[in-house]
Amino acid sequence: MQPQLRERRGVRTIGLAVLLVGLVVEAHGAEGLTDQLRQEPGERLLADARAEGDAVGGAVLFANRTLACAACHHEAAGGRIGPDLRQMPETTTDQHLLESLLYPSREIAKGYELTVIQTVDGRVVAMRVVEEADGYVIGRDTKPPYGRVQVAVAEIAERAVSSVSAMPDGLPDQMQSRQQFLDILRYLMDLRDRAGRQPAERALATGGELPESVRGAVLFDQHNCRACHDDGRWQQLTAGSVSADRAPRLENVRAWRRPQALVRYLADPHTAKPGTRMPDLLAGEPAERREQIATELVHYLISRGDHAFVQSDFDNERADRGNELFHSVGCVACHSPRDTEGRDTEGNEKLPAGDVPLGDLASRASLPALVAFLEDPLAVRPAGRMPSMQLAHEEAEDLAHYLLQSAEDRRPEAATFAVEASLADAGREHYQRLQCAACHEREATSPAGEIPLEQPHRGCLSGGRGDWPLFDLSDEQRRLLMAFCDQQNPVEPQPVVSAMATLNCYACHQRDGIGGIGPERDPFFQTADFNLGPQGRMPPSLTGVGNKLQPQWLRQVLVSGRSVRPYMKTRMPRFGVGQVEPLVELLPAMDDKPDRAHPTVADPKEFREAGHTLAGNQGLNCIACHTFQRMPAATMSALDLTEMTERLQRDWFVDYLLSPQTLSPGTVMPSFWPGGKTTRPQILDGDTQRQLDALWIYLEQGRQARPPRGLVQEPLTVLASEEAVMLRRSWPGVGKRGIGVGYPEQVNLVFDAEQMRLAMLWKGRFADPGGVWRSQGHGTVRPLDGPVLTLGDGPDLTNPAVSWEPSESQRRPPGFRFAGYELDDRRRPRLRYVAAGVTVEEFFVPGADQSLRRTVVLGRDTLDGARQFRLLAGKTVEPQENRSFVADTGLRLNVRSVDGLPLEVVETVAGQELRVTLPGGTFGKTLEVEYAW
Amino acid sequence: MVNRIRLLVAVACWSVVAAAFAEPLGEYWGTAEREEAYYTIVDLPVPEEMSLECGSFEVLADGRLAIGTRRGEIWLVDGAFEQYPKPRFELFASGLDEVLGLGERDGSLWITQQTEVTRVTDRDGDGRADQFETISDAWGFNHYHEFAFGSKPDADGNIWVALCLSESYNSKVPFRGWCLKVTPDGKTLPVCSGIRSPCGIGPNEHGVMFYAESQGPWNGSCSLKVLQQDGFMGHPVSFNWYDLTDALGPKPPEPESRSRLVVERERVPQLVPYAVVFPYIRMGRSISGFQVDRTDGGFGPFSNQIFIGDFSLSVVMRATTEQVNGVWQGACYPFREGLATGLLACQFTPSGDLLLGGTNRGWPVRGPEAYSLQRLDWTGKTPFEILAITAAADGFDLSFTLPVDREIAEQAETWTLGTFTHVYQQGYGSPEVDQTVPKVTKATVSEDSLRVHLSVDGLVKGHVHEFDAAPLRSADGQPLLHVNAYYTLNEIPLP
Repeated sequence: MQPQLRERRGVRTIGLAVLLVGLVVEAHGAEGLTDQLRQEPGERLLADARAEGDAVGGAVLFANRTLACAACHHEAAGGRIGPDLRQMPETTTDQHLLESLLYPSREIAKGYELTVIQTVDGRVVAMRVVEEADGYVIGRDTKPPYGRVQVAVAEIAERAVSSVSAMPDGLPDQMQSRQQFLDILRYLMDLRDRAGRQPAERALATGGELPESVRGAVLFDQHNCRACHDDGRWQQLTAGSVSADRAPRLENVRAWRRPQALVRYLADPHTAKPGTRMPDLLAGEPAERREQIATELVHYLISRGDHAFVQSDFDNERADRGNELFHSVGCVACHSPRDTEGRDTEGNEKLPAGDVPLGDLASRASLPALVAFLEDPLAVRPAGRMPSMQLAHEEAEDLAHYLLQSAEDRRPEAATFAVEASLADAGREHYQRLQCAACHEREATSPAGEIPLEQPHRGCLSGGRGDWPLFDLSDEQRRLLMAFCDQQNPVEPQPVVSAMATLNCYACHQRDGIGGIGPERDPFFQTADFNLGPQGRMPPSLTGVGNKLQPQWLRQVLVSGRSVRPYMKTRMPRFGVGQVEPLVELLPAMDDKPDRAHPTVADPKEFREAGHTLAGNQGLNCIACHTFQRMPAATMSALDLTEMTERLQRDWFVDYLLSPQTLSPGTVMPSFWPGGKTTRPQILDGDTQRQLDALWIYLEQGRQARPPRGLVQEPLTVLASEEAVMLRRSWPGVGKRGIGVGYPEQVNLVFDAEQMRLAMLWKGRFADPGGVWRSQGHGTVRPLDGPVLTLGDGPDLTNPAVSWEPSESQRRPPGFRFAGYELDDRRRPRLRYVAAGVTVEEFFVPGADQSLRRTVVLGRDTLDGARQFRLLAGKTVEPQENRSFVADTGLRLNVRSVDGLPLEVVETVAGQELRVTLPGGTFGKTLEVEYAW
Repeated sequence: MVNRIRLLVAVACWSVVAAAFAEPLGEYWGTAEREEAYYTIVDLPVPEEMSLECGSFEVLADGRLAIGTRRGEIWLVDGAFEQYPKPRFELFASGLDEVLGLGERDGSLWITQQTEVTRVTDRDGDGRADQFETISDAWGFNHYHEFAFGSKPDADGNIWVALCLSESYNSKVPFRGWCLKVTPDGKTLPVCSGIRSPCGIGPNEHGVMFYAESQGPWNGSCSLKVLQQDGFMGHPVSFNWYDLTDALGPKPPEPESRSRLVVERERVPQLVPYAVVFPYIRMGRSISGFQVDRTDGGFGPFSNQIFIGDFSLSVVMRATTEQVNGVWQGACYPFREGLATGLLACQFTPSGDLLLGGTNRGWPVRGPEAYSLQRLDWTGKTPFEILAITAAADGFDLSFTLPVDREIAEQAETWTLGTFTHVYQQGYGSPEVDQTVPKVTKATVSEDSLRVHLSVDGLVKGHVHEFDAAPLRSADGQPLLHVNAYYTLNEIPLP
């Protein structure tokens, strides 16, 4: 979402007074919870909130998107819309809190009034005015996404301060219950009680300036002054830690650049790309010579490459996706946003705060080369000035389509360039004479140039033209560089600050009061989970990070761009190992605090158990907000608990739990040990220290930690809709070789392919495979509906002449094997097996009335003696009219055809069975029966 | 009563698992950052609604990828081998039971699932299987941990099935702990006994069938073992099934617990020693599916070597084998760490990349993802690695992927060796014992600088020989990407 003026067309003639009323009407909801609460005695509400209100629940509500309290009350760029509730005056009474919720307009905090502006062209803007400067009124929009808005004073037709609060009236109507109201109220009381203990630091606000010496050193590095000049002072200040700026490699410039654009660039770099750090090396040459030298240089450079410039077609849809990426993954942390706001009237980049210019990229770069660069910038710029934004190939392509979109207009120019040898030869001489290699070829580690810095006010920094490279420097930049080079100024080593400034970590992160996200860029830091509040979209503060992260984790973040915040749309970039490796060492050394001793626990099992309880819904319910083993919580996707101990140092973890707001001022997490006292006295005798130890020891099991109580696993279901479905797994009472079949008619069966029998029948939904698809798979599949009717044990086909009993090691009768199945066009299986010489096929078709027709085909095998086939079993089996039989289980069998074979009810150990008897000799019989229940 | 016993068993199993969980998974090699320059991990995007627990892979004749899963599906995948993969998944079959073996032959997929070996065919050509012929289900299956791992069809179309024990300590139903060979016409022929808990099966680089065994009772560490006809793989609890068949000859004598493999081999002639030991934790904790690199250089300098994944540590390793005095043995080498999930299966693709997949379900796994499908793509750069180690009568021959710095390589101090073995015992696993320190007396570098012969004083038959070549540099000054390798010296070659 770009920062832009919210527009409402067609209100030109409506007066502001009417609009103000309109705002009120808009905000006031229908009769609901608000009215109910207003009718209750305030004292009762307050007493109930104190007794029954859940501050944690309130904290969650405070941040969630429906109520969106945090959107207005938390610090954000452009100032807050509502007062900072973490800094409530001590005099704030419970009664006052209650009134603010129920009657927001009764008392509006000073400075937080709503201002409504109508512009000359009829737009209406409602904002909380934060400042008025440079002819603009600047403030926060009071509608989602609550962005920064500005209106030129010259454009204001009418302006009024509303007596209605920006806080919506009837807010409780957005809550689901009175309890939620009590929770919020209780949370506010908590916040009020904790006010004053907040740290001075503001993690989210733009911090202070960098020391001038560091700014000078960064400029010195950025303009690669080190290529020619003694860099002793730079080494001293940075401790040699990080140098990010080297000119790009030119090997593939032919594939990269349009030749004509390159000529223009070399002839006059500062006009072609304002803000570029490339010096004008031809500044001393007359205008006509410049063009000639540039042309010769280009012929030489192009002659060195072997990949030609490729024209590409551009895809608007991809460009749109690229636009989205550009403005969300973090590109605009360093580059200017590329909308109308980010450019001046000529369409040039505005370059606020020294942005890295892209110039008119479209006129010069090729699509494949830009894609390759975006995927792996370090290959072209090994020193890591441009880090990898962890773009997938597709994303790099989308982004390149976006950045080069307008290149289509310039197509005719590129194709006509042939290298002329004589020009290339002349170009090579220029290349050597101008020492291009000093920046473009030398490794970052090679020794610095030797020209002393004694007279910085002459030469490059004089601003005049002469026998030196001319840099595009502002007066301020020149001043900083001169101060940096001035031998009179003492140099104080600032390795971390200079490294972070060089890599521009400060564009996103704040550390020790320096850096952070400025108001212009704030809207581009987005989240996929609004419930997390500002923490969901703002990169974390790096103050004390050396004490926070485990060294191995810190390395993975810095070197590999490891990230644990999937909801944050801005990505942690990947720099080259060489660039960030010094920080891996420096940060812990700089922040070093001695580790506190933690008691050795005699019985870790007890602590693991207590930790398990604390994390679950019988304890602190951490899983209400935190992801566990990659399973997001219902309310929000706060950091995964099972990665905490691998990521964090124990002291920091303990400090954070005791007072989350101290270490992370924007957090929605409340303290569960307010004032160091536990809120769960029944666990580990309510001993705070032991509870903290228990959580740590429990979480130390990492992903192997037993899921806390209350963690709701996503249900697993297998259902038959259009076609039959099967599940061959362990079924209750059947064994491991069960074959479940669910039919679209919502009739289900299990066939036992171990004993070769129809084992189970039920109506309704098919199966929950959780028992076998979760954990190691030691459970059974569960029928989703019931009742489940079971049929007899042992094989359906038996030989009356042979007595066989299953044993633990042999549940299958001798000579039996399963032979497989075929599926018909509705995926219904025709099962096959061999039962001691008899080939059997079975097929099931549900009827419209949810009966099940079973067809058994006994193959034309020749056998010595008779066999029996069981059709029904139970404690009792009763014959009925019309060749029907009913078992005590409620299962009815209707005989359709048994090929003229005799049926009889047989007594068994378990009760009675209906069997059909097949005489010896040649078989080849088909049985058709129907089950109904 | 039955239910109560079941419940007790379940609780008992669970606490064993819980106890195992408390162990740390072990240190990283710490080489992932450098490995990345040579072998990139490429994620294959899988639709969010799919839970793809890869258990087996096959590349089909039509160029598609087939995936068998723990959840009993077979997926056919287009577009998995492209440089920037955009896989499209089609469900070929479902409702099966842990598809842990998958191979194509005669237009059908021949799969091994818990219950059986099945030939799966799409007869009507609509892209979905409609015929499932049970080729063999001639083994008992009564406990969820009785996993069955099947090979792809061998040259004669046979599928070799390694049958996991009932638990670590039992063989309750027929042939648990045996390897069975299933012929295309449905005959089931016993191969060997003594398996504990297999997690991968397939031919070694010489075409001889091997399997991956896990650490546990009678297995001091994970290892690759040869499935030798009539052999005994080391865990005697499956001796009871010799009563059902005389296919393997007479029942072997019981090995003695708390002994050494090299000692028991003398007493138990059928006993097959582990061919390649993967020292516990340093080289995985649960080695799994493996395949030989037949890409002819498409995957880098390791042609014809075995690549094997690890379930617990989400790493990939290499192995080489050779037969010395009639006994299989060889070495293993670290290769790549940092995969996303517990690896179960791997497969070389037609484009010469290595596909890896699995799940982190059920047991402790370092990789954080519940399931993932990834590929290792060679970047074209050759890492400086120990290519292979072979045994010699007086020491070892080492080969390298790049020429070595002759001066450094010729110094005996460059090479640090150690040896150890395991207690061969009924208890779970084994510490490393009987350590010795052999001495490299001379290092001779070949003319092309690609091979080094080490003359060693103090070779120990039956021991794992551990190499550390940290000081070594390539001719152009690079350190080794991985400085360690482990050779299992069952036999010392005759001079």
